[in-house]
Amino acid sequence: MLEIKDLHVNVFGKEILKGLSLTVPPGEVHAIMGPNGAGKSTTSYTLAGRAGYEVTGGEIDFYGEDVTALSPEERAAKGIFLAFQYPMEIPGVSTMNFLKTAMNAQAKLRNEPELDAAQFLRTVRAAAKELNISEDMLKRPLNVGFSGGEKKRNETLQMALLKPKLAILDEMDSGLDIDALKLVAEGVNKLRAPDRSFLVITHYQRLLDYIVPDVIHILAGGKIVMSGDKSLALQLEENGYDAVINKAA
Amino acid sequence: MSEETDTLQDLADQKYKYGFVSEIESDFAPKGLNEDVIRFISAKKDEPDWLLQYRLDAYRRWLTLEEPTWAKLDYPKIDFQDAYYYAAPKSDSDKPKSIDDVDPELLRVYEKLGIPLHEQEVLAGVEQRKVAVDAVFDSVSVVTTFKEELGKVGVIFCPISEALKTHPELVKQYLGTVVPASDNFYATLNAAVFSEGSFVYIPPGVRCPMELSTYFRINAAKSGQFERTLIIADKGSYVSYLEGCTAPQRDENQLHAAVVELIAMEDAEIKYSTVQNWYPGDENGKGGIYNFVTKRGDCRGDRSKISWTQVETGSAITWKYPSCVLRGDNSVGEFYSIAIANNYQQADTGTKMLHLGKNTSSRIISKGISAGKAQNTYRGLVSIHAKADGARNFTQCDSLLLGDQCGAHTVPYIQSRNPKAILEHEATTSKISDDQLFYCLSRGIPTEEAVALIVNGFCREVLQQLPMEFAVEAQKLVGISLEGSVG
Amino acid sequence: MAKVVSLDNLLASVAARRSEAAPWLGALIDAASEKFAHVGLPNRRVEAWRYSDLAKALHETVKVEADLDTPPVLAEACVAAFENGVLNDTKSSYCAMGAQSLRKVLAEKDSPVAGIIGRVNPQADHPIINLNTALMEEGLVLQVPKGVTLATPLHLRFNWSGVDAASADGRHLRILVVLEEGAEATLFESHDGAPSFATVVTELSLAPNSKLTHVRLENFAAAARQTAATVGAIGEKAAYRGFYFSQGGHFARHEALLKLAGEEADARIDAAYMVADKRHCDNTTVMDHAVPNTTSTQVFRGVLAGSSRGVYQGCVKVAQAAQKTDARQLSRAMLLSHRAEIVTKPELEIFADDVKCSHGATAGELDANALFFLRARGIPEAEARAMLVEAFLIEAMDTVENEAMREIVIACAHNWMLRHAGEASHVE
Repeated sequence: MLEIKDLHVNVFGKEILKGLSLTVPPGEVHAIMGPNGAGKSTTSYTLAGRAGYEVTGGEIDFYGEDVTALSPEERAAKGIFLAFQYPMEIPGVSTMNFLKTAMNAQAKLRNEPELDAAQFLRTVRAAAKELNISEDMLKRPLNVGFSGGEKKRNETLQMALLKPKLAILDEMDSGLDIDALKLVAEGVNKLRAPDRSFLVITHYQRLLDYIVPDVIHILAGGKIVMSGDKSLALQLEENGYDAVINKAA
Repeated sequence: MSEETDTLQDLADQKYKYGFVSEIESDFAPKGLNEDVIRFISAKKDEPDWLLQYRLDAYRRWLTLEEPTWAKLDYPKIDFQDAYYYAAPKSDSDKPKSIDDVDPELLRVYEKLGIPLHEQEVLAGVEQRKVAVDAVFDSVSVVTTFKEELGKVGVIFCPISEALKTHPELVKQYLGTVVPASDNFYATLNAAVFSEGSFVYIPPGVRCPMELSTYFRINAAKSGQFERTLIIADKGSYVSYLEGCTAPQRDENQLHAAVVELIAMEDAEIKYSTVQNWYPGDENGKGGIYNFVTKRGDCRGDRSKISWTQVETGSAITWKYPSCVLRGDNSVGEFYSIAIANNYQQADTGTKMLHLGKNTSSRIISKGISAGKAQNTYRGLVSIHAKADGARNFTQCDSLLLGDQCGAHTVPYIQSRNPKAILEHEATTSKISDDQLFYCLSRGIPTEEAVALIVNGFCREVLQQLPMEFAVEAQKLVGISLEGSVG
Repeated sequence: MAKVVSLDNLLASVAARRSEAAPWLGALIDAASEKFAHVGLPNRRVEAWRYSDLAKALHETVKVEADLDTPPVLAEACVAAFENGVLNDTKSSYCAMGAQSLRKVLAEKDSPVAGIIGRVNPQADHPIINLNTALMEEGLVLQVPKGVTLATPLHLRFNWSGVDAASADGRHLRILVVLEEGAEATLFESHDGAPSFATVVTELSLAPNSKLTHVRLENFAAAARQTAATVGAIGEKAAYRGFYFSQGGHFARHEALLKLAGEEADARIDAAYMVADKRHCDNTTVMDHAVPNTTSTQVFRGVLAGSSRGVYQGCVKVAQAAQKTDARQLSRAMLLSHRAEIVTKPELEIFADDVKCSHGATAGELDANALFFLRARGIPEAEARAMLVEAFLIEAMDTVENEAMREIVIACAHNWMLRHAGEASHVE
C-alpha cells in the first residue's frame, strides 16, 4: 500500500509539491487529475526517484517503508513502476536485451533466481503477443523509430513482465489515437490484480473511460484539493478545472 | 524609373560613405619603429616611468617574435618601418577642456560620421537614450562626453592616457593582466606603441546608466592605429560598451593592431559590441585596413558574464578572436559574430572559450558571409579543463556563400578534459536558396534588397544582441557590404 | 633494446634502398625522400600533427606486454599474413584471389603498377606517406578486373608478436588495391600486437561503378606505435564503405585521405574507438571533393577512459568546381575519467557555393534521461551506465554488413568493456 504523507518537493529550487497526501490501498486504481502546472509529472518523477526532485518534507511509505532515500533501481525492485509519458529512445540497446537486463537486475536485487534464456524468451513472447508487439519490434533498439502507440505498448509490456505492486501511469494517453489508446488500456486492465495498485495521472477524462478508477483525486497548486468517485471526472469535463477547484476552495 | 533602380543607386552611393579624408594638420612621430619612437610616444603622453619601461620591454620582446602565419590569410609582408606610430591633430597640443575648445574642423569630421559629440545630442532616430562617446582620432582622444554625469555614480570613462594621470593605481593594477605584453606578435607590438583607447571602471553594484561607446577614426596617411582599451566591472556591476571604427579610403594598406582587455569581477556583467567598418579596400582589392586585434575578457569572479558581439564588415584583412577566460565558477561567456567578406576581403575570426571554473557556460554563434572573391574563416577554440565540472558549451557556426568565387572555412578546435562537461558544436555551409530568392522577387522585392533581407534573416540571432541604437545601423551595413555581390 | 628511430638512420636506409631500386621505383623514391628529408618526422609544431607528436612518441621507451592478444580469424577469407611486418607465405592464401607480394612487384624492372603506386591520390607533402614510399618493402598488390566481384574478403592480417630487432628504421608496409570498372571487393584489415614503429599505407584506386568495403580493426597492445594512412581515389559512381575500430596504442594514428574524383562518387565512414590507460588514438580524415555531385558521410564515436587521449581531425574540402557536394561529418565522444582528454577539430574548407556541408561534434556525459529510464526499470546505476556506453558504440558497429566481421568487431568492443567495466560504470 502506498501512503504519501504531507509531501513537499522542490525542483530546481522551486517548491512544486506543497503538502501532498494520498493513500492507495492494494488492488485499487486511483487517478490524479489536474490542470497544467499542478505538479502531476513532479508527483510521478518523485515517486520513481528521479534526481533533481528534492523531497524537502513529508514521506512516501510503500508497504510500511519510507522510500524517499532509495535510488530509482531500488524502488523498481520494491515494485514501483513508472510508465513514462515520453518513453526514452535508447539507440544501440535492443528491446530484448533491455528487458532481460531489467528483469534479471530486479530478480537479483530481490534475491530471486534469474530466468534462464528459454524461460525468458517464452515469457516475453507470450506477453508480447497479448499486446500485439511483433518479434521485429523486440529486436529493434529500444523505442527507436517506434510510433507513439508502439512506445506505450512497449511500456505496458514492461509492466506485464516486471509485475510491479504499484504502477504509475504518467499521461498514458498522450500522443495516442483512440484505437491505440484502447489497446493500451486493454493491456493495463488485464494487469489489474488484488495485490497491484495503479496511480493513473492524466489531464483529460478520456483515459478514465477505458481505465476506470476507484477514486479520483484533483491536484492543484501542489496538493490534493478534492477526492471523489469517478463522477468527479465528469464534473471536470463539464465545468472545467477552474470551476471545480474554486468550489473546493 | 522603377523603385528597383533607385534602391540600387542608393546602395551604390552608400558604398563606403566614410571614405573621405579630412585635412587636419597633424603631429607625427618620426616614421618607423625604434626605441626612440617609443620614448617619443611615452613623452608625448607624459607617462610614468613604469609604463615607458613596460613599452620598452614589450618592444625588445617583439623584436624576437615572428609574425604568425597560421591564419588563412594571404597578404604581402608588412613593412613595420614604413608607417607612423603616432599621429595627433596639432590643435590637440593644448588639450581642449570641453567640447567648446575642440577644433571645429574635428567636430565637422565626427558630424560627417554621424557621431554626436554634443551632450544634448543623441544618435539619429533614437529618442531619450543617452550614449556617452569617447572619440579617438588617430593616436589621441578628441573628447569624451557625459563624463560628469557618469562621475556622479562613480563610473570612470575617459581616454586611457587621462586615466594614467587621474587613476594610475587602477591602470597599473589591471593593464596587461588579461592580455600580457608577451601574448602574441600583435599584442606585443601594441604594448610597445599603444597610443590611445578608452578606460572604463564601474564601481561595485553600479549599473552603468548609459551606453558607453568609443569611435575610432584613422585619418592620417601611412599611420597605424594601436589603441588599448581596458574595462573593469567591479563586483555586481553592469556595463554595455560599443566601439565603432572607420577610416578614409586610401590606396595603401594601413595597420590597426588593438588590444582590448575586459575584467568582470563577481556577479559583474560586461556587454561589448563592435561594429567594425574600417575601409575594406576597393573592388579590386586595392587599399584597406589590416586589422590585427587581440580582445580578451576575464570572468575573474564567480557568476560573472562577458558577452562579445561583433559585426565585422570592414578591413581588407581581419585577424581577430575575442575570447573569454571563464575563471570564476558559474561564469558565462558569449560570442556573437557576423563577419562579412566581399570583393577581395579576407577575414579569419572567431573566439576562444577557456573553461576553468565549475559550471561555466559558453555560447558561440557565428555567421560568416562570403561574397565576391573573398575568403572568410571561422576559427575557434573551446577548451574544458579538468576541474571545470559541469561546464557547458554550445557552438553554432553557419556560413553563407554568395557566388562561386569565394570561400567559407570553419576551423574549430574542441578540447575537453572533463567527463562532466557537455559540448555541442554544429556547423553548416549553404547558399541563399533560389526558392527563397524567387519568393522575394515574386513579391516585388529587388534582388539586392532580397539578398540583404535574407542575409539579415540569416544573421538575426546576432543582430538581436546589439544595443537597439546600433542594430538598425548594423542591418543597413550588412546590405551595403554586400553591394555588387549578386549579379 | 631497439635503436631509436632517427632521421639520419632513416635517410641512410633510403640511400641504400635507392641504390638497388629499378629506375621506375628510383624516381618514386627520389621524389618522396627529398620531401621527407626536408620535413623529417612530424612533431607537434606541424599543424596536422599538433595533437599527435610522432617524433616525441618515438623517443619514449615502451614496455611490451608478455601476453599479447591473438589476431582474429575470419572464416572464409583469403589471408595475407604479415608477421612482424614480413609477409608470411605459408600462413597466407592471397594467391587464390590473384594478389601479389609487393616485394616481388618492386623487384621487377618494369611493373604494370609503376604508374599507379604512389599516384592514386598523391599526397606530395605528407611526411609519413613519403617515408613509407621511400622505404616500402613488404606489402601486397591486388587488382580486381573489370566487372568481377570477389566472393570472399581479403584479410590483411598484421600481427606484431615481439620486438623486431632488425627494424631500427621501423617497418613500412604498402598495400595497393585497384578495383577496375564495376569490380567489387571486401577488405578486412586487422592490426594486433605491438609494432615498435610501423607505417602502413593502403592505396585504394576505385574505378567507375566499383565498390569497396573496408573494415579496419586496430586491436593493438599498449606499447604499439603505428601511423597508418588509407589513401584513396573514388571514381564516378563508385562507392567506399569504411568501418574503423581502434583501441589506440602508445601511438596509434590512422588517416583516411579520400578523394571523391568522379561524379556521384560516395564515401561513408563509420568508426568507433575505445581508449583506456595511457593510450593515444588519433583518427584523421580528409574528404576531398574534387568534382560536382559527390557525397561523403563520416560518423566517429569514441569512449575515453583512464589517462587516454583521443584525437579526431576531420577535414572536408570542397573545390570550386565541386558544386552540389553533400558532405556530413559527426564526432561524438564520451569521457569516462577526469584524466582522459578528447580533442576534436572538424574542419570545413569550402570554395563552391551550391553545397550542403555540415559537421557536428559533441563531447559529454551519458544522457541523463536514458540513465534514469534504465534505473527506473530496476537496472543498477553502474550496469545502466555500462550498458549505455556499449550501446553508444554498437550503433557504429551495426553498420558493418558482413556478419562474421560484425561479430568480431562487437566482440572486440565487448572485451574492452569487460576489461574496463569499472571505468565505464562510474566517472572518477
